[in-house]
Amino acid sequence: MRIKKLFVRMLVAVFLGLCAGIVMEFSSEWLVFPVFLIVGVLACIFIEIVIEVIRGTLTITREDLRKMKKPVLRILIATSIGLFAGIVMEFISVWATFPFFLIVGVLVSVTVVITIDLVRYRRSMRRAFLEGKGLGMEQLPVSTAELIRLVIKKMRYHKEVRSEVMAELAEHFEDELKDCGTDEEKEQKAKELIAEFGDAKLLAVLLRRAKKRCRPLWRTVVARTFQAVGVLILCFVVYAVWFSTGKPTISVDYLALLNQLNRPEVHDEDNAWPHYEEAMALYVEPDQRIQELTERRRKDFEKRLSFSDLNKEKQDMIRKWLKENEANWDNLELSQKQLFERCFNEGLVPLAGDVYPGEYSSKNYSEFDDAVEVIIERIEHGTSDDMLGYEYQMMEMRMGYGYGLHFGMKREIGLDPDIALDSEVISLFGSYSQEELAKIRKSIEAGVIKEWIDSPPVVVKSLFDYLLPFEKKLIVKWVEENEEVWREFVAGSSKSYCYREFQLQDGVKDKLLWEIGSSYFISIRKLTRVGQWRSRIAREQGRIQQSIDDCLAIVRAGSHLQGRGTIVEQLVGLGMCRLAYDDIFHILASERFSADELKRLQNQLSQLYPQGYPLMNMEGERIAFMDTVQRLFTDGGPGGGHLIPQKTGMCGDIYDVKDVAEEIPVGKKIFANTALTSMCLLHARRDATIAVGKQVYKQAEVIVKMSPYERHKRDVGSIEEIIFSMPRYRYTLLEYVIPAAERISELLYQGRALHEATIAILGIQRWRLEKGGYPATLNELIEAGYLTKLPMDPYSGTSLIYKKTEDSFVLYSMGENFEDDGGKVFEKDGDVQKWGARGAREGGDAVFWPVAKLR
Amino acid sequence: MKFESQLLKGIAPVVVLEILSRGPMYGYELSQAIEQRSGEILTLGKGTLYPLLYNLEAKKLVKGKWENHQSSRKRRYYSITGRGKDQLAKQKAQLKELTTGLNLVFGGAIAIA
Repeated sequence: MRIKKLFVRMLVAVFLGLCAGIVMEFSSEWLVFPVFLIVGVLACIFIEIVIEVIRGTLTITREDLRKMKKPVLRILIATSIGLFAGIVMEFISVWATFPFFLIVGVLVSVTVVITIDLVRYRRSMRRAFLEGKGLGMEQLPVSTAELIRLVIKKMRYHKEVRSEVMAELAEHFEDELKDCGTDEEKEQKAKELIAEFGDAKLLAVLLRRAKKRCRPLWRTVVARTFQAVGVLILCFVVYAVWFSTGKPTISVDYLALLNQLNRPEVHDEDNAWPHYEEAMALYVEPDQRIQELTERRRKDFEKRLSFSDLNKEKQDMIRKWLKENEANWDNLELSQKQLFERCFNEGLVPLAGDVYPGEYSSKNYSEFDDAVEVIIERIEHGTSDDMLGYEYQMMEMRMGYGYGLHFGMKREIGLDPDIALDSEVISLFGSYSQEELAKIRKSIEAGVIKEWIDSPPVVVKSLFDYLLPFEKKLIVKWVEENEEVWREFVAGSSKSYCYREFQLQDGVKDKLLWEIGSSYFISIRKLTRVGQWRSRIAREQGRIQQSIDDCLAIVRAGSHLQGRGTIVEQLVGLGMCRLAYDDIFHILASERFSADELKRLQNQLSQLYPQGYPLMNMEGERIAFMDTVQRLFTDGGPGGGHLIPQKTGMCGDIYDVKDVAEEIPVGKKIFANTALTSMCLLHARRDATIAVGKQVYKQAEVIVKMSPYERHKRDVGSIEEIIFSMPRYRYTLLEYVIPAAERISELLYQGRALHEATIAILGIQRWRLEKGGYPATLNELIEAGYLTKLPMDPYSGTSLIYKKTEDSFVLYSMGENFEDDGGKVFEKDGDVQKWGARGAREGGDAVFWPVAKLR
Repeated sequence: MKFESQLLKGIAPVVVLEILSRGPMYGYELSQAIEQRSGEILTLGKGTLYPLLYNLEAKKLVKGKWENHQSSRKRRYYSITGRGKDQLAKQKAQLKELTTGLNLVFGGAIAIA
């Protein structure tokens, strides 16, 4: 008995340990390996053993040991089975560092055996109890004993109480039958007594009720509390099931409403969309390399290091090194030297580039500038041969649990397969041994440094100049392949508006409005890139007017997306315009134009927004919000309906949460689903969400129409403040879907400033060409007819600041710190912050002119 | 005599309390005492006795205790508590009044000692 009680307590300890472990895993965000589970179980078992020792119940007698034999044997067998299963699992999982499966296997099998033993023990105890040994049942006739057993069994109460009742009833029957002489008399009398006792089940019920009334008050309270909690849990489970299985009712076609909203009242012939659609259909996708090149932004191109940039000390050090190593280069065979020089002209060095080759194999070679930096570093630090960047070692790497991964990287010589020179280089050196290649490498390094020192600094006019010669060829080829695409795009951009009807794709029934146009926006961005690079190529080739025209086409197309539709659509349009203006500025800064050309350009830009610069239209966003509510909430019920846990994943699609969720381990997922349901339980109901959403959108509409300066002056509360002032976790959906109105307003007004600054600069340049010099103020431009209105500064409430300098002028905005820093820009980590740094003293201004040179 | 169960329902507790007021008894002893002292007129069904005793115990009118019997067997003896005595006195008074009323109605002598 003692040992069995010990087993029971051990099992309870294991269970408590598991519970504690689960709580800890939950708190630690459910690590991949269940450390806390195992530690919890082991800790509780240890504590239980300590308690048992302290209580002195581990004084095991010989009799106990005899009784323990069988259960211990069973546990040992179970442990062996668990170990074996664990070994198999470890083997399958390529033998993880920590024997997770071993431990789990043993624990599971031991737990199973203990559970089986416990169940058998309970059954045997129940049988023994009902037999009533020691309670006087042995002396009773069988029928009487059966009656009593039936009553006790049906009583269903605490064992101790039932024992007492059994004993009492047994006594009573014994007393009633004591005067009977023979067994037959006893049986006869017993039958009469049984008849007198009445229905056994009814008696059991009466006895149970009576005994329950006898229990102390605290026990009654505890019992009722547990019952109440059980009922509550049951109600909660039913509610949770009902809650989770709710379905939305799509009653309003918000898609049609959105389309109706966006439809302008003009002729369809003047619609740009068919041209854009055609352009998207004809679009030739670039391969991965060109895609990467074309997606680079200005700041992605690093400053090219030139010899003159170095200080005298470094220059002397490099010259000294070259003097010592130049012979390596000079001693090369002529054919080898000529081949390498041809590689240098392509901006490449025929040595292995990155250590880890990726899918995109552009780095099988070193770019010239990269090679220069690495060689300089080597010279500076005096490192030995087998070090650094593109050098290799044979490496063996072990990753994760049980993985062995061998990275073997040989010293490579070669170029990019897209380059014709590559095959020449490989055929010349491909058979060389490592030692021979090491000698060649030293020669190449000397040649690179020599070439670098002797080369004049590269004049960078546009981003096109950053590309290597062969990369330029690739981009030119890609742009030529998209020539027809561009023609369609330009044709579309010349139309007065762009209207497209949003539709769900075939087979798609359930999609948020925000997502429906997303592929369209991506496509139009791709077309924009074609135009940008076409413009840069034209500029490189001296076709300046075409270059400008391409940028104008992008601006016009961008303007088509502004002022209607969803926020994303409008921001895409704004972004397209910004990209184009950026290039326009650089063209204006470095190329010559006649006054007429500038006037034409200025007029085209001025006529872009006949109704004034379009501010953000929130109506499409509001419609999308209402559509989201009807898809994510049930319809009806308390509060108008509740948020459906399964449907909240639709919002995740917008924010790539779904992609992230797929990487989450199972444990976290289970927990994540529980957390999601909890979030939905706490979330405000549909009607309240709509009411608050409308209020927030109303405020957002006010905010987006205010300039940053107006908001700053009036200290208008942000949307974030509104949302976070609400009860926590009640409006989580709004936190996801409500747009950042302040930032949108900022982008909008910056875009407007950019547009107006361009027009103003064109006016100033016209003045310079026609009148000579520069105007004293912008008002003079207006008076002379070179400008119709002053360009507004979003950060000051007045016009952009114009200052005439000795030989030019400065035109700038105060920037995000709302302070005039005299036209100085703010740099952070070498990058110019275009609009300055918010809240910083001397946070810098947004300078439109002069245009910062490409580095 | 077999009485209507509803008729006996109110009387059984007071009868038990009265018997127990004369000394502690165990279940069988109590049922025998009721029969004997009522001249075999009142018999408490075996299926009624123990639920009744446990209910009285729950109401703290009687107290049950396991004690060793003469034959060294343990038996559960029931004895009346102070509260039980008060309840008994109250119910006896009520019964007396009831008897008086019934006597007047039936015009006979129904006495209760």
